[in-house]
Amino acid sequence: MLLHSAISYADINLSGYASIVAGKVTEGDEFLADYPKAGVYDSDWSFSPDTSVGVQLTADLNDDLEFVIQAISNGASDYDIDLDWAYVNYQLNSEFSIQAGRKRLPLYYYSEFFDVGYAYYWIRPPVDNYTWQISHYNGLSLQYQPYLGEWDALFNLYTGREDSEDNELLSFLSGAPVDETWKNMVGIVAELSKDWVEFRATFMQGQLDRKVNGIDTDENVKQKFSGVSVNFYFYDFIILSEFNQYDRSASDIHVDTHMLSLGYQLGDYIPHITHSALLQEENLAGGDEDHNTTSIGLRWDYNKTTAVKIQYDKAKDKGVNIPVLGDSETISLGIDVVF
Amino acid sequence: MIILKTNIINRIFNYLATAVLAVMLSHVVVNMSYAEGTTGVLVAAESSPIQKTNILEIRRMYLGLPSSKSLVKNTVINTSDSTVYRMFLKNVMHMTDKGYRRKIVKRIFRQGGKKVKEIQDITELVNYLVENPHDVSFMPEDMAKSTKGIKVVQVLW
Repeated sequence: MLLHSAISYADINLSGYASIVAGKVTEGDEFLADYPKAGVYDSDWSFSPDTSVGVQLTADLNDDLEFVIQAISNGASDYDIDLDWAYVNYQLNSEFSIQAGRKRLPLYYYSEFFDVGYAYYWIRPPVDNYTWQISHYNGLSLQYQPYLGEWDALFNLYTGREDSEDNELLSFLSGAPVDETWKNMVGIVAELSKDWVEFRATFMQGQLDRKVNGIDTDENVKQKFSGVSVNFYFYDFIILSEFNQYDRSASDIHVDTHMLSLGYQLGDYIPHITHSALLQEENLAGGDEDHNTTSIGLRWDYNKTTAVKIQYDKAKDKGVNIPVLGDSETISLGIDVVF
Repeated sequence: MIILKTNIINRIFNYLATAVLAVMLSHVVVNMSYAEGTTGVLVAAESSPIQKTNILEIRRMYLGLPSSKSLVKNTVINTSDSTVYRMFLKNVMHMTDKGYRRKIVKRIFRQGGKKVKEIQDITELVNYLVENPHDVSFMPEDMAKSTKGIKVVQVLW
């Protein structure tokens, strides 16, 4: 009631984004285009795997207190409406702020705006690099944005947990309902950027619980994630890179992912080529995973809020014991808008 | 055979020389347009209580980031003159238009906040500022001094 009353008098801003994407596999059987939501293309044209619409409402409750909520509907999740963000932000001063609520888990460079297609030149962030089953957390974060002249910096310290019942990716891959909990997460992200260069470093550690078919298979298992991104925007050349490591030693799971992309700004067009890969050597349980994707595409900025894209992806799946979906070639076309 | 190789080398050299000249020329053209002697100023309504502030604060406000306690409520991008907008980006934001827009979109959908208002018509911009005394924008100094209803808060470049 109090919140409703406060919002009635708040300065409210509405923003949003939409990505309408159609695609089909031209060679092979299936292509896992969106790992977190298990969005899969097959040989028929489909809009579901990559299409999403999001609406964000920001309410300034007073000069220092803000409420942010972002609802999203994804084709890969049968167009159900989910909450991507729902938190309150308290501005301690011009450099420090604290947030409490539900946020996207900032593991990877594109994690926090994964579905905002307008913000990057691909149809979707490079698939082999974005393969994790947990995308959100409920908890607290402390952000520090200091004054550094022409440089922009952001330090984000966060803690929280996420309980995912019938997790979309794990249930899809294992063929059985999997409940996954990431708890006691503590992470830090450091970003430093200028017009032509961006650096980002990320680290998170926590514990994992897992149930398969209602049976506990993992409990209090320690896990660590670390990653580095460096991006250059040098004259018209764009170089994007990302390197990540995931480690769950108790289960003998060590995963390396990376992405390297080159683009060229040609007026309103950006042709680009990208290679992404995931490698997990065979472990004591006999599990391995080894796949990579090479993509070429073109982004056309139709106007200041709309981008049109086309992309071709060639996926190679070399996993022996845990193949994902096999080799494939896929074509996709999309339109991204922000409003 | 040797003549053929020499021809190919000459041709490659010519292409490279032409490319280098083109790049140098484009730099001269870009620098000429930046060198246009316009002084840019921060403007607000004549009745506005807004006072001179640090340029870094102005840059943060135009990025949609919190600034030290300031009387400015909203910043407005003036896109009525592409040269003035480009000079604002170069001298205050230190980034290109594409880089600026990329930062704004990322900030809105990662950290909340509102879009930065953009006005393309100079008459509309002046009327907007007059009606919103806590908002600021930028324009050439001579235009600001000769326009009724607005005042120069400070020189930006």
